[in-house]
Amino acid sequence: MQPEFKIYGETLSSRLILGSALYPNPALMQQALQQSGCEAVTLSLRRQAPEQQGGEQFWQLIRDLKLRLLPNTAGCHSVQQAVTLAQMSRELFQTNWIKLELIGDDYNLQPDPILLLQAAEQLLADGFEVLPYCTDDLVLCKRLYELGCKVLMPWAAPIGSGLGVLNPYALRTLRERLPDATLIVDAGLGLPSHACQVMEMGFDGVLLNSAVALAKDPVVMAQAFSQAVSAGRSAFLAGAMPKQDFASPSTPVLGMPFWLQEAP
Amino acid sequence: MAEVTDTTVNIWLNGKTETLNSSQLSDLLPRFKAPFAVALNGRFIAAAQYSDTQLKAGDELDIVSPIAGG
Repeated sequence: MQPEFKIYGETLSSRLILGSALYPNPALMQQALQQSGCEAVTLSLRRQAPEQQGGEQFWQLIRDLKLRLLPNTAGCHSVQQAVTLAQMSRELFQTNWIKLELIGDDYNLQPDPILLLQAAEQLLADGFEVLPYCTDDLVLCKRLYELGCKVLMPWAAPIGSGLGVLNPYALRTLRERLPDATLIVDAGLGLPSHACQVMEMGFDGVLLNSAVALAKDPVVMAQAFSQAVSAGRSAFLAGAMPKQDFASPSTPVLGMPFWLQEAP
Repeated sequence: MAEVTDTTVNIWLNGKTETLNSSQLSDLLPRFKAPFAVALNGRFIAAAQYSDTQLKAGDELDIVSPIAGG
């Protein structure tokens, strides 16, 4: 576990990374990102349609926020698609960071572990700083880390589901077995308590989008997630008390009135 | 696709058929708003290569711009 939150050598003071999609309008996106205190935002590339207005406004708003950009390869189903999109992103956004998404199933948008490894290997060799969106499979994460992915982004649940942590054992095991990797839980969180939960486990950060953007009040929810991430991190650093299956009185027993030490 | 003549080339531009009067990639690009990035037949074309890139019939050209993403 790293004392600072670093992404490929870049220190971020906020451990919350937000997406830029699905907000009711661009102004709310901007406010939510600002109020969250996040320092990095995800975004993507799609075919330019000159008849559709709004793309330029989005780009201007994002640039005005002066956040670190984390482009994704969302929607890619092949290694070549992901590599090409990553290369286009690097040129356009001027960053080596790439959130590598390679989907293996369209029902739950589960990452394809085999193609993910292949794409990560190519991109790392090409100088990218790869942040793979992956499942919580320990061996997959170990392989990605051994390839050179210093940051891993396992899911908590399928993208956009808001289900929270489906497999806490798997996430705890990842943290335990990969103590030096920067681990960011990406996808599936719905509530600030979910974010707090994974931060309490010792995860380095949280990346989410839908939980904020689809809240009734995205700005307030962004603040709530920010507080939850901070609280979870503090709790992890503080160290939780050990669990036990029986009660222990917190008020001293010694000196309890109405109790006779000897039989009358 | 439109009828092909000696001076035109039919390609797929952002998934739709397009008849171009020039096979030079850089002749096509001014109609797009910056910033954008380019892929030809699924492969990245760096900005430095635009002026050297020729298009041929059936090519698949993608021109992408920033959008919101998670």
